[in-house]
Amino acid sequence: MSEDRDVIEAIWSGSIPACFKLASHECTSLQNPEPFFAMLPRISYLPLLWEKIQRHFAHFVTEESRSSPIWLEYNLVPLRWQYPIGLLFDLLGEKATLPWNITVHFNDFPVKEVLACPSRQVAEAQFLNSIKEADFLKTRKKVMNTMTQGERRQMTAALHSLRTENFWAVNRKLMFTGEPWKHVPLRVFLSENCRQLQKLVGISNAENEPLTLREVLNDWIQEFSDERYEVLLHGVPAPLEAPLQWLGVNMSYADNFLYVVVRPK
Amino acid sequence: MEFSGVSGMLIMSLSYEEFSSQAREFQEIAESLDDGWRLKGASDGKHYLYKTQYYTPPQVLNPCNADCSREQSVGATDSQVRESHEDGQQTFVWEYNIVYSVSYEVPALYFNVFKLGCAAPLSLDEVWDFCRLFGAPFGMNAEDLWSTVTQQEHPSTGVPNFALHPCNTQRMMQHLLNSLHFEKKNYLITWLSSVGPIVGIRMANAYCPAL
Repeated sequence: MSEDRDVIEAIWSGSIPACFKLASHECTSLQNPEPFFAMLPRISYLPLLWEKIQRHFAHFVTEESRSSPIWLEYNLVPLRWQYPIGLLFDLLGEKATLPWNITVHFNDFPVKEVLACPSRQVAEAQFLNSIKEADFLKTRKKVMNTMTQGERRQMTAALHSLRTENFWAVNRKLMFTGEPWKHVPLRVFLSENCRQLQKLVGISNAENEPLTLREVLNDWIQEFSDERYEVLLHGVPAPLEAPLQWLGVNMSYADNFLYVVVRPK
Repeated sequence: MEFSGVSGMLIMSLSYEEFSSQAREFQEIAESLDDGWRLKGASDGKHYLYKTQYYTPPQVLNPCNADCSREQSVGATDSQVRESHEDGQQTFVWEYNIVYSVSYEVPALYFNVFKLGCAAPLSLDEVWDFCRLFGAPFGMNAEDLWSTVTQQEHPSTGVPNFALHPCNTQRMMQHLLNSLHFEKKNYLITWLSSVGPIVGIRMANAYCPAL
């Protein structure tokens, strides 16, 4: 098996128009700041934008708030920055109301809901830990154990600059491991209650045929059916009959996890 | 428990069912000792162990004074805690969680630290200072901290916690198995008594049936 370039290119070029506004009660200036507009790459992460957002709004908040870490919120739900932007939008956003209206806060960081992210180094460590976890599921971390610092840096830099080819030059090692994957890194998010499901799942079913996403959802979600639920992966209906390992290679997020969103119709 | 050869190395994992049953046995010992550990059931149906502990270092985060530190267990009375607070010494509240890691198939230690009376948990840097203090006698390398302790969501409650990374737990348990010949039924206790000291957990001898 080799990767499907068209699918990967499409995933890497997906983006969401977003409009960031400062929380009105935190604005101390007489004049409201202009909103900050951005096209958010679905595959990327919110901390990559934080410096720009912070700079844009810093002069409209009190001096003591100015240097505190910002946090983002949509519809009263704080955005958990450790997840890819595309997943957050599929889970919380509404396609019908683009741009995605996100509120920016400098005060009252929700410490019980959102991980602290004082620097880009924290965000990158989080990303690499997630890749390590995915590699453990696939190969018991054999690939990450042989990966150089330079290769790790290449992955985070390529994700930042959205250079698919540079990223895949290293990512190929994580995907084509030379032996069958032990488990597929898969998390299913239920939009009803934002709950996430994770269980160990292999690449074959009991009949030794390639396991499909539909079989997994039938097993994990009570009374799962096409009539009741919509299943999203990168904002499009997930191919439920596709073998799970094919999905893992071609439709995982950059951290090598498949994040599937299940929404009631 | 699974033993399978990968690259000539034995891999040692613990299933959730084994974790859950050992956690229940752990709770029975904890109840008889009244040392504060409790078994909790989360809304997702998963079990985890939980304990709150007060700790007052004699001089905040001064690793040189590690030897004369004194510990107040959860049994310490409010007046004892208040007294140390009035001495000008800061008391810290540690919340420990022993959860199950689905990906790594091992138990994992999650924790938060608060200054007494303060709602915000300590920062990663402050927690690392504690880990250096506690971990030094056990030869922990301060360079390893990025891959040892970071903030993660509690797998059952979603609340941000600091987590001791479970990525090397299987390998560590393998070494312990080879050197100590511990038994499968003592996995959880053997693991906790090995990693716990890095975050200030001390365990009574009563947990170890062999002693």
